[in-house]
Amino acid sequence: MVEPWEILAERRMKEVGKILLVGSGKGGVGKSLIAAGLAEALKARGFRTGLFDLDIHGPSVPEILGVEKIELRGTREGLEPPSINGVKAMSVGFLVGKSPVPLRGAAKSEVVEDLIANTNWGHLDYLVVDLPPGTGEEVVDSLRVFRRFPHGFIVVATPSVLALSVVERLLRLLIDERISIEGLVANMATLPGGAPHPGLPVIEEFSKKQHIRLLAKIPFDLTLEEVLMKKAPLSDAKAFWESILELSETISAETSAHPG
Amino acid sequence: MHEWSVTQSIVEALLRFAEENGLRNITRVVIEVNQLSQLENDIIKEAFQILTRGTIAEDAELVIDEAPVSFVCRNCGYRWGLEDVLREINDAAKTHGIVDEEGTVDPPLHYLPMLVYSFVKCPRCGSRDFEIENPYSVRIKNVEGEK
Repeated sequence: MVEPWEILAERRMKEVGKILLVGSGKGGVGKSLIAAGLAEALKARGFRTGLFDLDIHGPSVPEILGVEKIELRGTREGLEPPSINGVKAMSVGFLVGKSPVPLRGAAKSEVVEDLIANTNWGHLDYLVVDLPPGTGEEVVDSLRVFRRFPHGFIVVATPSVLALSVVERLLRLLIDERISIEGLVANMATLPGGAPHPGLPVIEEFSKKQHIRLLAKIPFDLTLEEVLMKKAPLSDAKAFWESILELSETISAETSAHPG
Repeated sequence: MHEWSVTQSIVEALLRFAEENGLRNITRVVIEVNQLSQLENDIIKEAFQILTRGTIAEDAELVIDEAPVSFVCRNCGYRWGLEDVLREINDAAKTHGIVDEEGTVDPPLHYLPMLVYSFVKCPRCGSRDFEIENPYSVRIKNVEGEK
């Protein structure tokens, strides 16, 4: 028998044009910043955009969006994602603040399921999902729901042999689970100062070998940390923002969504 | 108000089940509701009555099993019940409350019961490393109908 939460999840996703799943084989590669940046860039292009932070153990979307505390509202249709600078956002961080989220096993899956089932996104062109890192059960659970709807997976990696061996495992999982793969984003593709990262040829070679498009090369932008500390918009980190805008153009050029 | 959303998902799950199994009507449904989410049975029953109107579940009897929640600390072995930590759960509504359309402020657990791990600690040793018995938030336990 279909679980009640799956019914609700289907209803929540019905009005979403395309789900962009942003994931990585491991943590610390800048996945959340890419996800948040992509959501803001799509919004800047005039699309109705949502940002869904499913990284339940390490939710960083509130910090990236500069939210310290927010009052959530609930209706008969579930939790209303607050609009932050024009992007609808939801994060477990909005529900627990700075408290730890020490979940294991079934509880972990249930929090992810309940978040998907209870967040009422309404009509969106794009929903950018910041997935938990790795290939744990909370990732597999989310993929099972999202793959039923128009979606594309964006894999974030740094130009390092170590990162790519993990990405290869992630790609195999995505293919086995019949997830549509949008492409690869090379984060920190340049060194501070602008020189290409020595590992960049490795990631370029990897994308050719795996037949995965290299969607964007995001530079290491020293001003980004300052922007986060000031709680300023990501667009203030010029080099980062320019490359993210290009990424959003690549993504939106290939879907049927039109700014609404 | 979250009860309406939950009940709607139950009704839709029931109707899909009936269709898949060739049921002509549904006569009795037993659901299990976890006490952690503090859903109100009266609202669930009212919503069920309204949402099943004109469907094959219109005359179904709805039985709500309230699954008692109990906790066991994995660190020190202490066992406790919901009543021992209700204050912590309701305090979460003061800091992270969710306001519904009628102005009621609900704790986050109303929507995501497993966030209990963020707000509750073992009353004896203070650890957050505990197990919950009966952790399901809402599930359909039994459906009766006629083919």
